[in-house]
Amino acid sequence: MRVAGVDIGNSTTEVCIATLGLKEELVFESSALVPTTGMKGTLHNIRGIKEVLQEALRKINKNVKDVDLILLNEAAPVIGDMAMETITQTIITESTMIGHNPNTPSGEGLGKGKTVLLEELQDTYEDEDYIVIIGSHIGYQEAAKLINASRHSIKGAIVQKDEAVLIYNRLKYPIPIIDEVKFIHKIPLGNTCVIEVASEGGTIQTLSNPYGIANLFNLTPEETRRIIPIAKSLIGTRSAVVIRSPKGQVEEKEIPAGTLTIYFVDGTKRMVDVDRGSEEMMHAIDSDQEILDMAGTKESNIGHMIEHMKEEIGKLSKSANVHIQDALAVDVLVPMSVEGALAGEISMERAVALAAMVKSKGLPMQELAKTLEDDIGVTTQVAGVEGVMASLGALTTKGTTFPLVILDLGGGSTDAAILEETGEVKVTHLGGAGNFITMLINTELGLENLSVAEDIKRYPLAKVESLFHIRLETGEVKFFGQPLSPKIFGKVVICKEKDFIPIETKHSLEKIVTIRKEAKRKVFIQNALRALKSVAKGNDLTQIPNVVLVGGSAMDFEIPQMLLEYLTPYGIVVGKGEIRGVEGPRNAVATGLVLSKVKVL
Amino acid sequence: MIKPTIVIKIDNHLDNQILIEILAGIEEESVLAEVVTEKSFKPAHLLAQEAAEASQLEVGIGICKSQAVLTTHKLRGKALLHTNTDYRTLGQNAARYVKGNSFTQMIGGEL
Repeated sequence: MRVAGVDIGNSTTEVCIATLGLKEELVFESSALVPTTGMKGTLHNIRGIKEVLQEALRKINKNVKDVDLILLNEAAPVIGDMAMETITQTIITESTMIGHNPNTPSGEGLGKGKTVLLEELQDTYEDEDYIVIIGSHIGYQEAAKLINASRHSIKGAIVQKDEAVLIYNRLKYPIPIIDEVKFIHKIPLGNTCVIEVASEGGTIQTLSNPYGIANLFNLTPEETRRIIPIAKSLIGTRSAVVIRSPKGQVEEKEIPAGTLTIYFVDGTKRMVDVDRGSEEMMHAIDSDQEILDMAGTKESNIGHMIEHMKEEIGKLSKSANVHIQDALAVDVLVPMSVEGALAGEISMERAVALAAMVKSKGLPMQELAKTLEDDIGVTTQVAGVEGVMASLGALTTKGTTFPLVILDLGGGSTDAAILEETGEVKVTHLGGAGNFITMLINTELGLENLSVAEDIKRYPLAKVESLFHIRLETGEVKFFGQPLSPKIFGKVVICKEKDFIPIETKHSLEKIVTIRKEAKRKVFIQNALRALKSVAKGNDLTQIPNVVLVGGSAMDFEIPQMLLEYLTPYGIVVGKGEIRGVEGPRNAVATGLVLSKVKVL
Repeated sequence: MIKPTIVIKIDNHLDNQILIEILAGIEEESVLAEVVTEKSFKPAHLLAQEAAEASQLEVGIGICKSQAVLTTHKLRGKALLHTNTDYRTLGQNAARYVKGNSFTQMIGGEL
């Protein structure tokens, strides 16, 4: 008879097809994988199941009628979700700063004066210092001519167009010039203004120092304290402008982050302030006690996040009673546009990202099996618990022994199961996995494009150094016989199979690589340790001889190595699964389902 | 003395404004350029190729009538970028190519 094991996961549906001979000899024939349609455990899955069956059967020139039995896994009734909220925000009332990094500012040093439009300069008093503002209607030649002809003392210039060098080269005396200031008409006129341009290769020193600003504007200690956000957001830029308007203010607003309350099964609870950061939160969450639910202070950040997640999951799983069983909190720095900024400035705001694991009511797998059976006319059974099936499948990896631990690095959750020689199985499900990493990469790089973030997670990067060669992130150089597209010249690209996808940011390759690795470390290293501890005897990691990595994220090009590095000190053998020697870390549950049939028969 | 310049080859009857814009683009990026005038009629891409061959930086721009073409020695006459409107950005991108920086978007160009 021909058996198909079907594993419905949060993000993919996988199948394994085998024939079972009369003497119980099992011949694996085919396998396939498609994205899961709809939420795991709902009737929407059927479309994906049919697709994946057809795909696997096509490979061996069979069709659905040739299958005698379909086995579905008893999917773990857990659903992952994630959310993120910033806990600080920089707001500029009455625009007062331009922390700006144009590609080509010009001149060098500090200039201080009153802001005035270049065309109105002749109507002002001559006994003061001025910073001239040059709108896009004045070309570089005319601007230089006007500045040279003026008898006013001009200490610097702010230019709307990209013409700083052009103007500077035509001046009789050098002044610092900043260009590419988009919203130049928003600059308050007649106010004291300081402009700083660092030398080539340097960064500004005075305007990024609170006392530097205090000294220039004659500030009181109280005022100095208030300009800290300005100084902070100017760190590392090549040029900057600070304008003091009488009413102007920059404030760093603290958004009430709230308190996370964790309720345990034994009736106790723990509370932790979200402000204290992810480490404290994780400390409170990680306990020997099983978690019953979590909640956040009403009308606070954490409150909104948790409410939102519960609502979403409640809607999808059609259950009113949603409890959060685990959460992974991560600190992130998010680049956010500063409200009220003049040149599209960005400030790095602190945020907390949270991935939660919700245990829903049992999923209606029997109903799903029945519907599928009626639909395609093949006997369908719900055959086994996900963790057990995954362990069975993982055991087909050569070099493994009991007690076998599998670490399922999925898209929505990190699951672990330990399989003892006696057949006893212990399972755990933790929030935070592959999709959470994608979200972290997306926000920390300010990409606002999840599909690019996903590609950054999955593929190595390179810098296009010439039209004929790229330098890979490992330092290797690759040459091309045909010129590369000018569209990717000079850019950081994702090496996705044969394609190069440019990343449209100013971040360097090194920065992107660091953020990518950090995101993976924050999520999977932390979750792997948590998961393994919770299934290990006496929570002792050294009791685990080997760990087999399965699931989509185990295919990642660096996560398995990262885990090996971190787990080696505990004497654990850890590596990507080689399911049936051919599938890699994929297909463990589907294979396990088929195998379970042999043992039962 | 050999100077590291982008060479710009123009035809005899060129509109001066086009050249000024291209030179301004290169200057804003702080790269040097030199201009050579060609007596006989040649299409822009051929002028660009000859300019690239003459350039120490192996980067040349050819301008004929309103057409401006940027190429490099290695591309053997194939245009890297070209325009007949946004001359400033073409000049800027020529300089950015020399520096190994990515190109800026050109108005009406292929980028």
